[in-house]
Amino acid sequence: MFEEEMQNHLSEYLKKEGFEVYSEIRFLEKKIDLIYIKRKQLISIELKVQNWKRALWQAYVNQLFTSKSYVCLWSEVIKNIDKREFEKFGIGVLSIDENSEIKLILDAKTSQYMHLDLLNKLVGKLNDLREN
Amino acid sequence: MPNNTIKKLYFRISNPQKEMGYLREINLQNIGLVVNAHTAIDNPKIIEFIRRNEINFIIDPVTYVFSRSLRKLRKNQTEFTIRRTWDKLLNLYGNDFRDLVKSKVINERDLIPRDFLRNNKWDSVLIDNFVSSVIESQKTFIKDKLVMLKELQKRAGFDIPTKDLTPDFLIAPYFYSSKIPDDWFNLTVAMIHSAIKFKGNFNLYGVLCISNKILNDINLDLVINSYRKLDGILIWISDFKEHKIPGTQLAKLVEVISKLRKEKFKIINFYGGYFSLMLTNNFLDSFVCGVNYGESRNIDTTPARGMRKMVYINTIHKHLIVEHAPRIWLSDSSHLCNCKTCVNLCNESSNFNAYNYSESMQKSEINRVQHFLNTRINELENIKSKNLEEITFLLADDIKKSTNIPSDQVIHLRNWKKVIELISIKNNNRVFHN
Repeated sequence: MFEEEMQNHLSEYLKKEGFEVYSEIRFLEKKIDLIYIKRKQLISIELKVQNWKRALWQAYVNQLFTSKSYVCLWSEVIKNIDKREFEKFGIGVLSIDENSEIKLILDAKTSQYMHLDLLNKLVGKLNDLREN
Repeated sequence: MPNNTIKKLYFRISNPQKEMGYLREINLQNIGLVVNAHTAIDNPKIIEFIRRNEINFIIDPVTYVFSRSLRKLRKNQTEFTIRRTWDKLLNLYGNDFRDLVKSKVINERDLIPRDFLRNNKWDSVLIDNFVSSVIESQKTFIKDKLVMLKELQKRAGFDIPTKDLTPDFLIAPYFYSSKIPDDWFNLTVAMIHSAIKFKGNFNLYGVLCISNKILNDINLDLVINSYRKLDGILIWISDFKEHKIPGTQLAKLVEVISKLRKEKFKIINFYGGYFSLMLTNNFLDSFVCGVNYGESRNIDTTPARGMRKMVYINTIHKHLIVEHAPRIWLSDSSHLCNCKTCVNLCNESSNFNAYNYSESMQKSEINRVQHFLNTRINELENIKSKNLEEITFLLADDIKKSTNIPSDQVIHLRNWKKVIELISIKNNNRVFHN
């Protein structure tokens, strides 16, 4: 499964659950794979088929402007990850398999590192996307 | 009289208009500058800056450029005219060489080592003419401009005493080798032999400019014999990123440096970062890094303008995209820097915190660059007089401080520590593991 397929499945799933979903949001010097809004809180998800360490770093940075930050990995990769690294930084882990089944492996903790200016900027960006 | 002393750290200027402004606030007493020959020609302000501040300097003749794709020298891909800067440099490097390069540009062909042959031997007239011009241009880099300056001052009716500054050493023309020996290596050696004739009282260095793929099986005996008469060697391994390269490659670099040093060469890493800095007490005589974070360089990459904004994180000795850095600063204030620039930033704000700090760094390039320059100078000062064992302790400290950063981003610190421990053991220094 490719990252794009994973993104489509996850996005569809979240929409069916009733959340407002945004994908591929260009923000600052990066691209956030998915953001959804749950009870007025922004939650980000970084998707990776293989490179869980890269996903961890991206999710770590996302904690600056989203309340919770997840990575979603290809189910085959889950056995390779160092779960303690994710626990240490409060980053959640989801997995997705070839049947598009999504599992919660580790719940994310609320970010302690929110930067209000960045959050405002991101909300502005999402508002623009909504209007377009 | 030539200077012939070298500094432990040189900053390379690649964008003079901007970078000279950054350097003005920096204490450059113990630092030297590397100025690329083509950059220097078009920027007389560099000369004035070096002269006024009496800064140690060397001129990189950048001759490797002519051994790569000559298309890069053209104004654009549809015209055969050479860009003004390169044209000026070619004029400086002698008529024969200039005409040779220009003819290749017109014929849409790159230069090859065979172009320097006559009757199956190196064309000594062409080589001597080129080499003497390259060497002479370094010797008179400041002097020529001073003559003009003195003349202007005379006309204006005042006279400022001007010291005749010379480079710390001369650099023989050099080309890039994808293996040793190849034709470009042999030509570089021929140029070195020619350069010895023209060096006068100056120390002469050669550049070992090679592919990172050949580091493991480099024929060092050949290098040593070919470079024997030089005072020192500048090592440039293309695209050698100290943060990303495996420990085995770093260890190999140290081995190469040690062997060359045993042969009494002075050794300078032409593109290096904190790993090179750690080697300056025991292995390297000096290293060069960019004013604006150039710690490695691919032979064919031209530094891009308007690239991503980066900031140096002093505790992990690495540049990060500036927008990513606040997550580190916010998670642990011990990652905030206390260099002169950062202390000033802190004092300027009545309500200083990691958020304000992040903002200042994001908004101001001058803050980011001056923070890097001051930090690099402080890093050199911190490492001064430390042996390998003490350096591993410093790295262990840095690793300890970095527990709040994903390990993927600090893996280089562990890598470096392992390599330094290994070479420390090899040097019979006892290392205590943390």
